Amino acid sequence: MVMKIYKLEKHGNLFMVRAYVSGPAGNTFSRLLLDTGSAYTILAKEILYSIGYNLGAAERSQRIITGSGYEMAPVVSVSKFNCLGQNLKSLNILAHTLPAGVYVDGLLGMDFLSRFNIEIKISSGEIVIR
Amino acid sequence: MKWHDIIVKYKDEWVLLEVKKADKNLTIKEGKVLSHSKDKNEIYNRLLTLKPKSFAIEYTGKIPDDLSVVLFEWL
Repeated sequence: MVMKIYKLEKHGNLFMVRAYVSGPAGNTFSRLLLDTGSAYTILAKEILYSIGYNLGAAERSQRIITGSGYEMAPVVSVSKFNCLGQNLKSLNILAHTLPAGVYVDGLLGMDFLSRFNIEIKISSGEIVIR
Repeated sequence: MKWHDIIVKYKDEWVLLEVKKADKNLTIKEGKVLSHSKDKNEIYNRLLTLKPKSFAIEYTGKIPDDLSVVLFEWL
């Protein structure tokens, strides 16, 4: 079995990763917060809209709770998602814009992470994918 | 413009970049600055207007090490 090790971007106790997301009208290189506490991968609404996803036409929405109350976040199926060297041809992403102060465009959640045999090495800031 | 030139010219700002070159780790190496601001929301607004084909939104300053994030989801 092939094992790959990726260095995570560490800021204090947080880890961030880079992702490439493609849509019908373009593509984006985004910074995501590695969040094992999030069931879903999340990306800013403005970014998803700009790469060609019609959020108003999303087939379903997910209720989320934010600092300002409940919101319904559209669920978008992106056609290409690359992160940690893994290329997915389809991934459902929640369209939700996080506050600017978190310095990321979204979250990398368990819906992505649980597809792989992953070990997060906290002390060295690395992630191992088998 | 190379990334190390961008962070000097637009110090501590958010920049909307048309990506020209990224490495295998998806880190931006070169880009054309389409917009810059201290306010990330302004960059999002510019993004909706410009709709570049290949873009990244980057912060040119240092991300604080004492950053903490508490987010909730309703499943």
